Amino acid sequence: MDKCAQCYRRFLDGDESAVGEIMDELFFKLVLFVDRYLHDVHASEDVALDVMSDLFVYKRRYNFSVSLKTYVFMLGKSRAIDHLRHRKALNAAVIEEAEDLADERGDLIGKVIADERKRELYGAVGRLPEDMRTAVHLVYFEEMTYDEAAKVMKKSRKQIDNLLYRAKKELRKSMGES
Amino acid sequence: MKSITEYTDDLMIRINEKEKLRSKKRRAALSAAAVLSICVTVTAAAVPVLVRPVKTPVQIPVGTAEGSDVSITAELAVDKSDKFVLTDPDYGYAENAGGDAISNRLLFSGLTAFTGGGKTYFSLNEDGPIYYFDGESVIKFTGRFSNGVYFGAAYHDGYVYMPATSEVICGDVRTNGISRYNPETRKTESVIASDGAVGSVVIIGNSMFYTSQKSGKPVIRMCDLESGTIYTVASLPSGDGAAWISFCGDRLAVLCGRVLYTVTFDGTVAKIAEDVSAMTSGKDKIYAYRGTAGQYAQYNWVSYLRRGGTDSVDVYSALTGEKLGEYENDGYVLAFDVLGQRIPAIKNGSLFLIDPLSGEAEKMIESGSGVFFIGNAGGNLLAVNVTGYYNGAATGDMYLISDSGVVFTGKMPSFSSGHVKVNFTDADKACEEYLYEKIELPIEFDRLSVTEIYCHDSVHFYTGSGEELREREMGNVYITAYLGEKQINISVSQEKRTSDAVPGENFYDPEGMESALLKTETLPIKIEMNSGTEFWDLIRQSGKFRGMIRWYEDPNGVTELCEIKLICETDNYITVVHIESESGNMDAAISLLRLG
Repeated sequence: MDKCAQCYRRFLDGDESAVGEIMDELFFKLVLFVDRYLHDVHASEDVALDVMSDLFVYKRRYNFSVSLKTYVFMLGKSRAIDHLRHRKALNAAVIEEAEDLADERGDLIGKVIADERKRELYGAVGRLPEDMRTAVHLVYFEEMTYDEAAKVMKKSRKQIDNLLYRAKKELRKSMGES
Repeated sequence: MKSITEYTDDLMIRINEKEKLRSKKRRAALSAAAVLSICVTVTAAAVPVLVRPVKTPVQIPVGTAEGSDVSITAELAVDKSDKFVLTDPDYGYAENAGGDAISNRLLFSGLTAFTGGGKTYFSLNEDGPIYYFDGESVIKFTGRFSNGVYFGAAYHDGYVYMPATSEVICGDVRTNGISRYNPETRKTESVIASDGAVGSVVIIGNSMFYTSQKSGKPVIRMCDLESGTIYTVASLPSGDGAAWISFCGDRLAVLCGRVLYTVTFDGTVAKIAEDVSAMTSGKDKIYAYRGTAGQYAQYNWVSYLRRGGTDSVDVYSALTGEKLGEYENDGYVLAFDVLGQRIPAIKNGSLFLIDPLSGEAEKMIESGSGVFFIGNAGGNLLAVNVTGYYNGAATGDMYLISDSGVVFTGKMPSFSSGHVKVNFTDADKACEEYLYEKIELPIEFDRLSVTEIYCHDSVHFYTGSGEELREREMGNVYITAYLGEKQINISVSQEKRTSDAVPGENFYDPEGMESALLKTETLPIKIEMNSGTEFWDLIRQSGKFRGMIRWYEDPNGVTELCEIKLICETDNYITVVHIESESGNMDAAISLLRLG
């Protein structure tokens, strides 16, 4: 059982301090992941909070068959897509707000990705098509296994492999060109 | 950005809000269901035909003939072992040649009816097809439900909710979980994956009530369809989850085992009667059917008919449980349903409504070749009067019966029970529709592996006037179906049946077929037969071929199904080769249908 799942088990057993530990471990990662879909840090925070609160309110939904992180990311992806569906029109942000958002995203990336080289890569990954972007995010930035990434993306392991192969090719091309 | 501590504080606030909302919703959902039920019941009293929210028990097909002796034989299946013979009207029970297994199948074969989205849906047997009546005509709209629809289905907001996988164990129907089917997209999805044995589903407002079981005890649960939250409304003392449930005013009537209960929405359980074999309910009364007739009495809520014994109906007040009266049947075949205060019954092939308290009977439909009573859909009774048969398929007129009279809704498309999957009466039109409109692209094709092939019928030849020329066994048949550039080879052998069948050779080329199927929907078919078979010679000489392959997956992912239909037209005949695979077994039926 992974560390987060152990914490969740403690939470189920009545240890409320486990909530803070799970938040420490997963929250910002989840926000950054959701932001891959929403491109809006504030909305991503909201979605991530919603996911985390569901996790603690509906106590028996998580059945420990996958790691807690995988489960939370699965929820995050699905909620992000729901959010996009319900967002009827994109809000036109004024320039100052957009700049603020960019700053916040930078702050968030700093919190989640410690490695300087990976941070540089993060921007380049943003230009990839959605599926590739998500696969790279999960495997390289979140260090999930192919199987875990496949669960989150609802794809097969082979598809993840293919996506990563193509993503690497694209990245090499785009980074080489720039 | 805020610190993680601040986010955790935000989270705790959100958790508290959700917890409060959750418990409020639960209370509201339970009370709303009760209030709504009462409201609908009140409305129903004024306009009973349109809004009565009663979901009624499954009905078994009954049919009798004119006269007092056996006077009609209705073959509702091509397969001889599945003959369904309508017999002595004094008994009214569907005799058959196949023994208990077939009896069970017929008993549990599902006739269900429900309304929703402006349509009346109904099915005539356990694996479809599903028909609907849209106010103008009866339309066959899907090949089949994979399972379950025949028991206690209910319509809600564009979906048909139904108990999922079903099996028959010692006369009880046990299902696991609840699925919902979208008639528009024809997709089925799981709503409740597994919750004991679900017997039936009724829906009112956004509240879906169903019977289930927990730790071996039957329970009544309610699922709030908006939030997906499931609540246990009440536990019953004994029996199991395969119970029947129906609305009865401001409470539920539940038949569990052979004990009849009422359950209020706040969970109060009252025992009404014992030794009940089936039940249905009106707005304030419960009709308990008792049978003393032979083996069929064992079945809980699936009706059986008189078979050398007697049956009776006791009428109870839903509110007080008091017995209001009793009707001792005197020769009618009772159909277990209720319209207003009256019960449908069949005698000599005609449909009557009987008031169980006074015993008065009113004839509603005059017999054609026998009436099939289907069920209750949104307060109307649904019945088909059989008017003719074609080689295993029946045709008939469908009626909706309300308190205010009988409405003829039009001709039924050709229908059948059992293993007949393709029946054409208006042959050209039906073929066109079936072949070119019903084709679906394959799903998970490469997972199918067919290892056994067998065929179980002989071929009949008819002249243009319908006279049977001869019957012969089919012999070995090899079919090569071309799919674009690719081909499949199918062999069908009359001699080889299920257990002793040998693997079919070169059955298919998965890779090629999959890609070909993705590109084409109509398939040129070529037949290669062993030489000297009259039947195929006949077709080869003068036939025109059309075919289809339909590959699909059981929504529960348990089995893969394949249908291959080969249509051969000659001047006087249409030949349908229909092969179905399920869990790796091939089953083929061939019928030769005369062109109209």
